[in-house]
Amino acid sequence: MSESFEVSRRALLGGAVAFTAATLAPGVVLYARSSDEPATGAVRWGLLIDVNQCKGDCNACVEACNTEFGLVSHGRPDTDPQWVRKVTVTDPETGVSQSFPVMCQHCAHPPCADVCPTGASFRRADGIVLINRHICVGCRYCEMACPYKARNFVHENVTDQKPYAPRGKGTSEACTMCVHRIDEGRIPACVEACAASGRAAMLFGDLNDPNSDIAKRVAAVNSAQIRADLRTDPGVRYQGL
Amino acid sequence: MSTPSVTYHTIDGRNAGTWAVLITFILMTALGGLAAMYTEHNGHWVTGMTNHVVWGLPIVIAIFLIVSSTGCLNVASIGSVFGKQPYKPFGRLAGVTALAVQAGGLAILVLDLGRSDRIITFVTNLNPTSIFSLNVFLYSGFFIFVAFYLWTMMDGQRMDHLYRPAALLAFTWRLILTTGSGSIFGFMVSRSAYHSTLVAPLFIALSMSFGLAMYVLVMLWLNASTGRKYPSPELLRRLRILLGILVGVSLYFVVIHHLTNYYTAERRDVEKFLLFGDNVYVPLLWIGFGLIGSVIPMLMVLLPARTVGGAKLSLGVASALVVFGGQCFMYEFVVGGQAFPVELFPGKIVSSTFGDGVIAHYTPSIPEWLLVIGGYGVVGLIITVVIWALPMLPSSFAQETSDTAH
Amino acid sequence: MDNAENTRQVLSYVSVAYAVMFYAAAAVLLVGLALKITQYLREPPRLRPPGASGDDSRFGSTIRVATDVFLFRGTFFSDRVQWIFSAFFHIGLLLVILRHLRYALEPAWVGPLWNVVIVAQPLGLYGGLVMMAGTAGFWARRIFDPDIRRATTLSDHFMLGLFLLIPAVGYINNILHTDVIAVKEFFLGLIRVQWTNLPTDSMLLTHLWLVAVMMVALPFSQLLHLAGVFDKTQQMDNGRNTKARAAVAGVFGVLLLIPAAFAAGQVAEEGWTRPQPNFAKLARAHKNDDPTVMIRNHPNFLMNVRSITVYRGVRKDINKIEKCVDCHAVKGADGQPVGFDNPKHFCVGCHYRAAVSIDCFECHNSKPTGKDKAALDMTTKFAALAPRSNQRSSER
Repeated sequence: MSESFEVSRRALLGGAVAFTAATLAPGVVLYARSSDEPATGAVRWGLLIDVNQCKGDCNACVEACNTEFGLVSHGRPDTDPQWVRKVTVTDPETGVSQSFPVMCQHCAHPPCADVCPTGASFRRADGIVLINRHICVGCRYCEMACPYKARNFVHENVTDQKPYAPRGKGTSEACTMCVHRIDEGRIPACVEACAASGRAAMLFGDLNDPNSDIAKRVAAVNSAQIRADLRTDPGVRYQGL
Repeated sequence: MSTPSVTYHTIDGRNAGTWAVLITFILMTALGGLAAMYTEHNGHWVTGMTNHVVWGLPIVIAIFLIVSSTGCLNVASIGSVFGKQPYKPFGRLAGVTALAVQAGGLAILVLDLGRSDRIITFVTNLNPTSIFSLNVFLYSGFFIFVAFYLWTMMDGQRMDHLYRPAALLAFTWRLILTTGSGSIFGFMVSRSAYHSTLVAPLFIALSMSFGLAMYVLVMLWLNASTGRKYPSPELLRRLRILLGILVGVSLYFVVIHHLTNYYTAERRDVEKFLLFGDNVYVPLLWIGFGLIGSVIPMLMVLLPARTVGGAKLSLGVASALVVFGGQCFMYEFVVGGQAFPVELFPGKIVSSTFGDGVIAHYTPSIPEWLLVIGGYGVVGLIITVVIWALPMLPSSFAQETSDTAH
Repeated sequence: MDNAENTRQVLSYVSVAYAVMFYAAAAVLLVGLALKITQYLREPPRLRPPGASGDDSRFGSTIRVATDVFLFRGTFFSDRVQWIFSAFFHIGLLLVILRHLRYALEPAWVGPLWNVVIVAQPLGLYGGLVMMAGTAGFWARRIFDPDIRRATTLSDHFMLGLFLLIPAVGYINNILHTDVIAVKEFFLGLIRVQWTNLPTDSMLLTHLWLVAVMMVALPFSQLLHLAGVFDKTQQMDNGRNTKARAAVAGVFGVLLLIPAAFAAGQVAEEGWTRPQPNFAKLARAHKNDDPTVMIRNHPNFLMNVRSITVYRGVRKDINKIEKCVDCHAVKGADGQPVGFDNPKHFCVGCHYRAAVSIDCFECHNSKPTGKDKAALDMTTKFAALAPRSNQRSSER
């Protein structure tokens, strides 16, 4: 009996393997994990955001995110989804102002995962913090506990979702670091859009791989994590903050 | 031991007044249910809650009820754990009130979830590091232990040897439960208004005064509406002193909590906002909780009353004020703490399209008010049905001489 | 393939045996019930029981009889513990029966009332536990209370055992899954006298056999107390107000007979015909041409792959629900694939008939998203798939 289950599950669709290769996007292929392999702890995905390259009026990353995940405004700013937001920070003493994107910081010790009563919030082996919406009950404790205010609650009915980004009313959500793209070997949508805008203020890669661009940059220049004092160890770093 | 001299009775089910009360509670519950269905169907945007104030009025009242429920048990605990005889005849009612208030709070909490239909997930997928999921254990344990405690109270002959252990267990459990409720906030590093070890003991203190006040209201109302001559002058005197002390302790903890935060430069901004800002939370704290909910009721119960009737009346009014002030405090604590922006960059001026650096606005919507009314309906409904079906109210006046009544 | 040939079924021995068994069991139950009611009706009225109070007005006695029947008023005042167990048992039983109505009714027959059956699905699942708790309470009393033990016969233990065993096997059934639609077809076939095949899962057959045993045993046990509405000794109205009893019995009977009445009214009408699976496509897409494998196990597959995808990031096509949706898309009148709100949607047909709600499409898109239009060509017709044995024989 179990044998036949296994056979039919494997073969749920004919020609599955060939299909994956065909759908790879023209974006940079970063990591050649086959679609059969699970994510491993050998990798830690991270972002490095160069604050000095980021311009205050540029919204490319935010728009790319909204397009990628089909996040639409209902004209109610307080309940509309915003996974990435541009934050402007001004020093009251000096008047110096900086603008840069803030999203889920993909902590190594995520408070959202600690407080989640059902374990729906979790950190994947490769460092990406996700929500398993199948078991999210919508208690919003994670939104309360996130020091980066990165989480949203789906306040409305959602239809015509992107096939790779299911989302629905009554559950929490946040930046997934475009996990569906990463699993295909592509880079996150915001990073792609930032590069396309000509600024290239965002760098994505494996912080654990000493030969990766991001690891080399992090080793070479001074970068900071938001609220590093909380020791959540975010995977998103900021250069020039 | 002599035979118990206190007998217990059910209320008169044929009374038109009973029916009127029962139907009122049923209607309230139905209103809450309808409001919950409306919110579930449309999504939470129809409430006042947003991505900035994620826990609104329903959670405020749910936490208030859950915290209070443990305090409702006070009178039973004083009678059994601490062996004070005059309190014993009211142990049963205290147990019932505690369970009903807890159930009402949980009903609101559950119906405010985004996916109330998945409630079973709390049991099937349990995250041991979450205070909230530990609380699920504590809530169900509270139901079991208090129900068992009630059983030992009501089946006096057979269960007598288990009465004191059960009382002790229920008392210990309610302390743990309130610690758990407080720790939901106290362990939260993200919001500086909450993160404090003081929150758990603060919640225990609050539970004592809020719960006692709520229980006194239920007891006085039932005694008056059924023509009972309770409480006796002796019990009345003790209850007044007890309420006065417990309200004072609560006030002390609130003051020391805010003082500690205000003293810390890191948290002075949020404390300035909550204590002296130009917002609704300041009057809720100072006038709602401080003056109306603490100082005035303390004066009312600690200053001597001239007549027994006056003492009873002032105890009742003071209890109502404490319950009112308690809800003011919870609103100030839960919503006020969220209204102040999360500090991603402490000390900097922050702005964004996602409410960074600005005070969040929250106004409870009609569905939220109705859900709260539904929660109180559940409380009333459970109390009414239970005292209708089971002998819960004492009928003799012998509690001051009785030594075995429980 | 010729349509007539397609729908002809070769019945298995087991299905025939079970059909005969259920007809016989139903006959025994109905005759037994009728005999018991007649017996009560023939008994002379007794004297008013001592202590029975209340007026003999028509309204008053109707209320008393009704509260006795629906709220177990008599038990409430005489034996509180027994009343609690009774409440548990009967409320649980009610929920369980509501859940099982999905096997006896078609949504089209009952209109919006079908939503009651849908809501009753999860409630019935918990209701079974409540019912078992009540049964366990009854049984514990019969064993541990010396007074009650003296009055207990072997038949009481037997019936109580059945009431624990039947739901227990039912839960095993629920975990192992069966072809719910085929079971439904079987019982609708019994009503229509158009027999169909029953899935031959051992736990399903055990569950149904135990139910038949209970149907036969009920008239011989003291558990058939719903006939006691007519027992004049049981009523606080002194047996005088026959009209009140008849009214309450009438309401009770109507409640019980609503499903049967709906069913009877529709027997003459043709039920929905089952489209047949395309075995070639089934074999190509699922590497197994036995449709029951997917019918029975698709929830397990989906649950399994969802965890693999979400937690481990293994995003093979086989793990993607979007691929299920792509392949099983059904085109609507406008030639575009229909969504979950359309009754023609592949998942909706069976799930609606089985009253099982699907959570998937509250977050996932229920339509193909156009990324792979070619997949649409593989569209199978909506198929409430029949057990393999039938299909094989009909193909031959």
